[in-house]
Amino acid sequence: MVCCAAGLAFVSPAVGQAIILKDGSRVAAEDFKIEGGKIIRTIKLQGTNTATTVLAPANIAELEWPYSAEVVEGRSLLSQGRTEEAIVVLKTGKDFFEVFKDIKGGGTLYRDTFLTYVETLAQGGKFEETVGMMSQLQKLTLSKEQEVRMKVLKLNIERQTSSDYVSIVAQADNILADTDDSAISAAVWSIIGDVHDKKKDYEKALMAYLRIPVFFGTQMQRVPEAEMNAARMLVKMRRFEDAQAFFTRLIETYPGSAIAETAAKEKASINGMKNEDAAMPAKAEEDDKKASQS
Amino acid sequence: MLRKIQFNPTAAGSQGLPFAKVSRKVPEVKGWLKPAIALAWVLAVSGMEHAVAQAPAPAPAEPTAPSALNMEQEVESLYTEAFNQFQDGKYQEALSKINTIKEKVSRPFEKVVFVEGACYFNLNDFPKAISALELYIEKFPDGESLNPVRMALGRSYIANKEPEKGVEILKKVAAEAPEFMAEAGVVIAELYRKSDKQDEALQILETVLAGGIQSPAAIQAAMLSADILVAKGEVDKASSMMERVRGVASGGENVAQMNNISLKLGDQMLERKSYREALAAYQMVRRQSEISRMQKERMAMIEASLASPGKGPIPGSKEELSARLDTEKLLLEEIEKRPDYDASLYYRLGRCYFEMGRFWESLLAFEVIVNEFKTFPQRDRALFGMIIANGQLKRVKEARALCETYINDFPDGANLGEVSEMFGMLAYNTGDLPGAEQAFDKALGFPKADKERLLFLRATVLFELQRFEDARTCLELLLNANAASAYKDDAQYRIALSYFYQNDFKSVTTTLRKYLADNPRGQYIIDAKYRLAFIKFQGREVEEAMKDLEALVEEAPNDPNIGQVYALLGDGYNQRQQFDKGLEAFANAVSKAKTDDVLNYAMDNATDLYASESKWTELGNMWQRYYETHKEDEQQALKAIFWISRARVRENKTEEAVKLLAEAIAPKISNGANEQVEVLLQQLCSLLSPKRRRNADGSFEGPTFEDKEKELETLIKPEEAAMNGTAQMRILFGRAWLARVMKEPDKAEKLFAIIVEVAKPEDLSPLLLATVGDNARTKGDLEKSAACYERLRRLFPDSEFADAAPVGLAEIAFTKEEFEKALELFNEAIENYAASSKLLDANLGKAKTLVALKKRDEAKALFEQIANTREWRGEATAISLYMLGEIEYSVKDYARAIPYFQRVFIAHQKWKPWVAKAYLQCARSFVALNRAAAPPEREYSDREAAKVFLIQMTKRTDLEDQPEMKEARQLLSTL
Repeated sequence: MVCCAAGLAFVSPAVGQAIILKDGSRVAAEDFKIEGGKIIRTIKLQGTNTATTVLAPANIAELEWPYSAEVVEGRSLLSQGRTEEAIVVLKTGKDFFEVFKDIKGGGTLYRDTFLTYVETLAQGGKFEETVGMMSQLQKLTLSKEQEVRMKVLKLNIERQTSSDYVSIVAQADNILADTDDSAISAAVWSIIGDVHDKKKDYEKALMAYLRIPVFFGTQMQRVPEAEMNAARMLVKMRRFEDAQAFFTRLIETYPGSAIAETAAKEKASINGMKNEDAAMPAKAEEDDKKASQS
Repeated sequence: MLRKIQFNPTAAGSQGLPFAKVSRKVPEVKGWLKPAIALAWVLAVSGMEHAVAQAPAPAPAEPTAPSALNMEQEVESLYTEAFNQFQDGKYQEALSKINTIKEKVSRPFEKVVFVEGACYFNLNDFPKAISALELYIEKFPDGESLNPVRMALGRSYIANKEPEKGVEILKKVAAEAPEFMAEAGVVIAELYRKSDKQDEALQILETVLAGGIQSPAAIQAAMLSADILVAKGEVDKASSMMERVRGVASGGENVAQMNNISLKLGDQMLERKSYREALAAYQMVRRQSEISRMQKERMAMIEASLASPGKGPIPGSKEELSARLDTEKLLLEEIEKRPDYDASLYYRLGRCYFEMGRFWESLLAFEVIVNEFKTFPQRDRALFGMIIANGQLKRVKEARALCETYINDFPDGANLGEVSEMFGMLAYNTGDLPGAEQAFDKALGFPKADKERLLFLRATVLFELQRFEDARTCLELLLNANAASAYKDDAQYRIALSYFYQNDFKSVTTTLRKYLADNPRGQYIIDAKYRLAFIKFQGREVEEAMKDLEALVEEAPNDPNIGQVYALLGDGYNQRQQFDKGLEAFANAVSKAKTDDVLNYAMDNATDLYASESKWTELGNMWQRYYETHKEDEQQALKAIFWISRARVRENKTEEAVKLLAEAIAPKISNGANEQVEVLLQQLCSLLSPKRRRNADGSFEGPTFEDKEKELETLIKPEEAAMNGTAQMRILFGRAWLARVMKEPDKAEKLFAIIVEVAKPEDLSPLLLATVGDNARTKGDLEKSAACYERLRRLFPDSEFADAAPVGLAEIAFTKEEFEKALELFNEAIENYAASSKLLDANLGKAKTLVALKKRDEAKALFEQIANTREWRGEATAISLYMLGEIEYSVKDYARAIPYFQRVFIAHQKWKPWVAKAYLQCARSFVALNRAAAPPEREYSDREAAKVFLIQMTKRTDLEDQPEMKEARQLLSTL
């Protein structure tokens, strides 16, 4: 029965992860590692003896690697609200594939992992690091879909450095009109939410952030952050009870994560407080808006 | 880390057509042969030469014979050709070369047998594939491609209709080579599924998935499992399976399949009202344009591969690729045939969110449908959803605007009746009764409106607005139009009640009796009888009323209204001074009460009685029970803690009381809306305040204020995250209160001054808003004061401190000489806070504003009313009398003014500022009158009289500090 081997299945090297040398031989995943940007190969000698050697990229014909495990794991971590851990994982992946970026089978994985890494940096609010990576990213030959992702990254940077909100929203709308891709749409709606937040148009910001969990639920990696932002908008709208419900859900859905910890802290500062805008007459609401704009 | 993540690239090609053999075959074969390329030359020197049929075995050290070398080279060349042909998908040609090799060698060779088996496998010639693969296993049990060969052999047996053999081999591979377990499991499960052995298939898949889902084969297994579970109707398990896939499978080759399963699963879950699971499933579904595009891209790849099988991006033979393309087409058709795919998906999402109480998300989903899908047949329902969601969020303005849109845009909408009703109910639920009444009136004119219900609702609102005649008219209209109305019971009863509230006891008696006669099983029978007894009670027929009430508790001990019957009985026993019985009745009322009004009334009375009888344990227990059932209501829970702690103190359990109070305060201290916190804080301060003896030098013996202050802070300090502005201000308030209780007025004053100085209105609770507002106003900081009052008025209109807001704002308006605004605000305070402690301030303010507006008659009437109100006797009387004098003085009726002023300094000496003012104005009035003496009625001339009063005033040392003294001396010097 298959069950007897179940425990071993998930610590074994993956099938098909290997370097194919120009002489046709394979170097399986468990027989090499990357150190300081170099490929260190372990050769089995007689008995249990081994020796290591540096494998020159010039001798490699192809990287046989089904896809980037770090991208999958990174997205999974993001979907659990563990952004910092996702960044670490994706950085490992980016560094790994960088060695193979000019080798058949390695370039695509490198570009995808690198782009995902920078997107995650941006998502995690690492502005300086994101900007720092952009020049390297721009040198890469990207696919059409990756070009759009780059465009979104640039827009996100512009969002943080410019106050020309009209232009940013217009660019965001243009991207949305041109794409049916959930990943891109979710990223753009996050930017739109940020812009409305800056404009202190909190309800619009709330609705923009909520588009991500509501309409782009497949983009799990963006959902925790979007829900957190939505909760913060509710606080700014003084909808404290509603915000508490959001924070509670974040705490329960992503236990042990940084996002749950932040949610718990932000919830504590409004705990038990009632929604305010429900009691707010129209005029007072207008006054508040004017005051906040001034 | 990277290499610990399990992948199975051989499953990568299988997406969409989950378990077609094509998806596994070619990648494996390609993978097997890659090592073979490298080993081809090794073969030449390490064994194959020995196998050449005609070649003698050469001695190791000897040079190889030319003929043997030629044979080896020929075989090598044949193998290379065969391999290249295999790579090009020319399997027959490759086999021809293999056969030639076989003729030339005396025994089988690993690579040759391997390629032979792969060729037959790819040609779907399974008997021959089996033969070659079996040979491989037999001859090369340690061969490097053993496991891929066993996988292929297992599948070959299955394809050759020998499933038992196939399954046996695949199970062996799975057990011995974990990296093949998921793939083998999927093949077996698929076989079982096709053989209608769904349970066995699920069992296999469960084993495969036991270690987690990360590799494409495991994802495939999970989706196969979910698909089977959905088909079996085991949607909970299917849902939990898809939940596991969610985090790892964001798309890739499984996307269309995942989309399809998720939609089916979501629909089944929605039907079962499992909204959370339905939502999780629908969230995996992509928009139609996206999923169609992805599917078309996938089909284009298959078509490209089909043009040249074995060479395109998707591996597989022509037949296999065709079969896969057909499956993908079916999936695409299924996606594209769904009408209103996106809108329908959003509608389902909106429903799920709504049912889960996540109204903001539901609002968004419905809003997008209404705005972006104008032809969606259920657009009216989406708009209705928006109305309800806004209503639930108490966004009345938005909800009502949407109601009007609905009524205009969907005159035949399925929810028109509900929308019409909601138009008014939304206003009603937020306390806007006039708005609700107008809305119901307007809704009565809407097409298809349920007039009977709307009339009833309008009457209900009119009733609450205390417009009893109008309410009666409405109810009578309803009953006249619908004699057998479903509202008959309610309508008749409310008609009677309307008389009750108008104190028309004759009519209420008549109508209640009619109600009892017409509705022998009516829902208000006990209440009607109770009210009849109440009327007797009020009419001093106490004994008869008590009899009726006692009979009622016998008649219907469990009636929902019986609590109030017990409460009235309690009142009766109290009147008779039968306090034990009274206590018993109120205790019963507490346990039977079904409304907060009755419960609170009974609790308050029972509390008084327990306290007066020193039954502290019983009192504590009663509030403890109350606390247990009202924990969710923060305000009420803290109210209970207040009484429980008091009871504990009386039981000499002060430490326990302190602990109780501290544990109740700390978690709530950051919530400004809970006004009970200050009540408990004051109680805690009292308990912490030590009994100290004052020394001769004014110092105290015993613990210092600073010691106790620290203790207090430790007790009430919340966790760091909850230390917001509100908590900080409350801690300051607690310290100030403690100073006051410990008789350290300077310290108390300083701490209060800090609160007033640093507090931000948004951080303050109702009590602190009122306190800081009043203090800031007294100090002339009108801006801060107004901000506090505005917040108090807007957010805490029901607070017991809310009355400070209109009065304070009115005083500010008065100071700014905005008298009309001030009058409006004073009126608001008087009308809305009739039982308020600020009612006197409001009346005084109104009266002085009327004076400023020169509405002297109204002002005079109001001042007289204040002066004559016994409960307000004190400074207010002095002020009123003085102001009455001022009113007469202002119209030069000095003779009428003088007695008012005299009454102030004769009868209200305590209020020095008013006494000083009254003296001066009295003297001025005499000077203005300037009549000569006319004995016996007027012994002195008016100037002499003025002089007498001014001398009297200036001699009084207690008035020395009053500003009027200087003016009085000046006037005296002129007389």
